[in-house]
Amino acid sequence: MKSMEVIFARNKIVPVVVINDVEAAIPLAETLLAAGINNMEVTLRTANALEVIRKVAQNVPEMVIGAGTILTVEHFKQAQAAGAEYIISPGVTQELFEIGKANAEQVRFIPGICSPSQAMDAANYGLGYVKFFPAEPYNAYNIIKALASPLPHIKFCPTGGVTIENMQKYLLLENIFAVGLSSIVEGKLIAAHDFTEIRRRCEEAVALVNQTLHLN
Amino acid sequence: MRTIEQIFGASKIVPGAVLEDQKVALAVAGALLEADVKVMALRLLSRNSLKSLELITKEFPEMMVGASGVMDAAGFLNASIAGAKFISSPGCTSELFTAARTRYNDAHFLPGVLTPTQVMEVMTRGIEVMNIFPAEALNGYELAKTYGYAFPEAKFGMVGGINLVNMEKYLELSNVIAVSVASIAESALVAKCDYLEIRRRAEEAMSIAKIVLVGTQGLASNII
Repeated sequence: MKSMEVIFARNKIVPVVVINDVEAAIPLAETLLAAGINNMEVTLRTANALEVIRKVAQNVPEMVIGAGTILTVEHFKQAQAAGAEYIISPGVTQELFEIGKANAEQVRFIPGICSPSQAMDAANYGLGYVKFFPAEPYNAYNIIKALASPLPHIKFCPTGGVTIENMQKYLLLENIFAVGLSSIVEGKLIAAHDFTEIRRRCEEAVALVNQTLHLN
Repeated sequence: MRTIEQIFGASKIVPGAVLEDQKVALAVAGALLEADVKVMALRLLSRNSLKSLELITKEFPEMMVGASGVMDAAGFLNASIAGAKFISSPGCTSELFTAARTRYNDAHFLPGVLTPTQVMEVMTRGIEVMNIFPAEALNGYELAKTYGYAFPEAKFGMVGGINLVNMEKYLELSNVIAVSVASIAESALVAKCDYLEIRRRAEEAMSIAKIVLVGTQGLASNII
């Protein structure tokens, strides 16, 4: 299993994908890779999400496939069985922490938090990478910045209302590991198989990351 | 028992009020009914609030009266015995969840939530309708919109600081089924027994709701 450090070392974008069309799974994964994004969070919000995860996991080995919108232990198990390498939840429950801990050697659990207490809960379960959700409605920029000093070991991925237009401020924070973006993989573009536009948006986002963080 | 969607109706408008005087309570309920508002939430402050709730329910069976500001199991029990069709609390505690479970045949429980973790807790308990409180103070519109994306099955009531001026945006969200409007029967009007103005504001709220409803009809429920 790849470590979080390795997965997100150059990968500062987590595309948050809503996809039901299994036929679009592999072309989407390949489009993301071509644009320089080698992970994707497939949310369990559609009937075929698990099938999409399975297909990408089996056919596109360079893609780090993750599962999102995990609300229950059952979702967690299904996503893991489908081949998800990381599992993201919008919030935190005791039972998700427990199953995340029990499976920590096999899959990375990234809990969704939006308060200092919830971040501490995650830290107490040994989790150093958390999603901050929903970011924009909660003024996540200010909160994440403020948490750097009391919780120096926690790294955040602000998601929810984060776009290419407003992501730069987050990228400049020391304690983020990525930003979650849904607009670059908008559902209607996937449904229309408009991989050209998806690639254009992804490349735009990657270019902005590289420029902001002086990568290359 | 009616579903919670039936109780709130298509307009989604739920006037909130504190009605400690029974005579005034009946007059306020009457003014709302004249404006075609058939649902209201009474904040439970004392035994008088319960009496008002009971009386309105008895005199105006077409009015769906709920209780708001319920803090504990005793309050829940009292409100459901008084005939509350729905019961809301500012937050969510396991005591209230237990009380709601024992009285599930009598009243719908709308716990108050803010964070995704709380939404998940509520849904784990089989409750899919909840209030986002305090809505105006904490970006409730943005929260409801984002939660529509993360929790497609959850439905929300919006409570806290909502008035005729800022309510429209909430009405537009397809996962919002109730908007608690405090300014329709606000305390100053109740104290002055200004039922005409209460009725006027209720009518204004209903006409705003109608315009929004027509505007959003036929639109996809996708609010990503």
